[in-house]
Amino acid sequence: MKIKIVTAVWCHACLLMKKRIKEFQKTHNVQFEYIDLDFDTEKLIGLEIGKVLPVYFVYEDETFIKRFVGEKTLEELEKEIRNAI
Amino acid sequence: MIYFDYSATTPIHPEVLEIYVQSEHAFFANANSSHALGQLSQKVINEQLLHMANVFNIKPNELIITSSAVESNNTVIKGCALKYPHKKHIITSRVEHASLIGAVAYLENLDYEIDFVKIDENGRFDLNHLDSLIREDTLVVSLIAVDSETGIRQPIEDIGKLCHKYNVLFHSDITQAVGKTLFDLSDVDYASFSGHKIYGPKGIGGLIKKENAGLVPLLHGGHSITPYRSSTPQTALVCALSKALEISAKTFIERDRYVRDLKQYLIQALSHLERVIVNSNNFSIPFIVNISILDTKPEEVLNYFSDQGLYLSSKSACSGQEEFSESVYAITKDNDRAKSSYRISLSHLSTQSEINELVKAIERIIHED
Repeated sequence: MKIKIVTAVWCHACLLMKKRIKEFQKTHNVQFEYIDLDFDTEKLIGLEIGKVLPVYFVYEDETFIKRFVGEKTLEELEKEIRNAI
Repeated sequence: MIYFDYSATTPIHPEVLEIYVQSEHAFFANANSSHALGQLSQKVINEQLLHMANVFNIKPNELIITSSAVESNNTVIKGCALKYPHKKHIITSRVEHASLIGAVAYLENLDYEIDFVKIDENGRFDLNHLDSLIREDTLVVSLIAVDSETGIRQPIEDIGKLCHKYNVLFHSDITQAVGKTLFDLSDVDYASFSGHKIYGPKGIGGLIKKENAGLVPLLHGGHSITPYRSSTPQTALVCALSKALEISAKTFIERDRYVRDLKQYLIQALSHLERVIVNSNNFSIPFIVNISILDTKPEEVLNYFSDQGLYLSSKSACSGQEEFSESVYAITKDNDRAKSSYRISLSHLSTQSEINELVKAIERIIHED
């Protein structure tokens, strides 16, 4: 499973989620690809961003499954991903 | 035009503007030049550095002139990291300015570990939690002096003492505090501020760096006003900043008293309105009043106000939820209040009649809803 996550350097929630995601990855085999809202403009093409960061796009075998947004606790993150499968 | 966004920026004080224009004419020569005209500029800068240092009760060589608080914040975070490369842990908070978070996030990408100190029910930093977060490899603790959304005055003096108990460096962004509250920088190692928040010009700020605190400059290129920040000295801007600081210090008591009365007037007027709750508390400085207008969307309401020539602001930075204020949630534990909060920032230039217009506009919002 792969998750593209759109973040920005000025975003408090994005910075906080980075630490949580590192923790999450210790027990879950999920790959995260970080996309910077301000600099990775080409990678943003086709992604629905909206007003809330971070934005998560979940993929299974290169197929898009789910989009969700915002700061999540470890439990909420796990639930979002579990529900996507 | 009715302006209630003085925490975002302020109009330049006429005397400050006059000093700027005069200085730009009289002291245009490069202060780095060895000729008499250059040395005159140098002399003026040195006098103004001494003047500003007295306002902050620091030494003149402890003030680094920058272009803005954003630059000061970036300089201190990245400059500390370069100076002390073996320390890889930073403690900050969720209510810092985006420029501070941006600099910290940059270091996070370089494998620095970041911790956020909790905020208590009064909106103040939890010092017990901070105590528990400090480690041997903590590079710097960076915590804001006044929350820009709620106006809550943080105990930076106590935070400084706590940091120094563990020999950890302490930085505070004092941008919203200068001219609006009294503070003691004795235990603060670094402090950032800007000119345009205190009726000074845009394009100039300051970084206070105590003598014993290390820093690697971000802008290299030879000795300027200070070796910590190279560039042709901006003499006229320095004179203007110095004048703005002087006025803010001299008029503090008078402005503080006036704005306190104005805040009471505002709160009294708002108390008659349904669905309006004041979020700022006893720890808030009088210059910032945060309110919630329940069941409203800030973006729509601010646009409506703007169309009426009424200017204030709301939570603008990303917070993980749309139009959600971390600061307001911290003190209210109420999602609805955090999603419908507005910042009214007052000034000695504000008047009761302007407040009456604002209250009428809020009434219209409530009744039209």
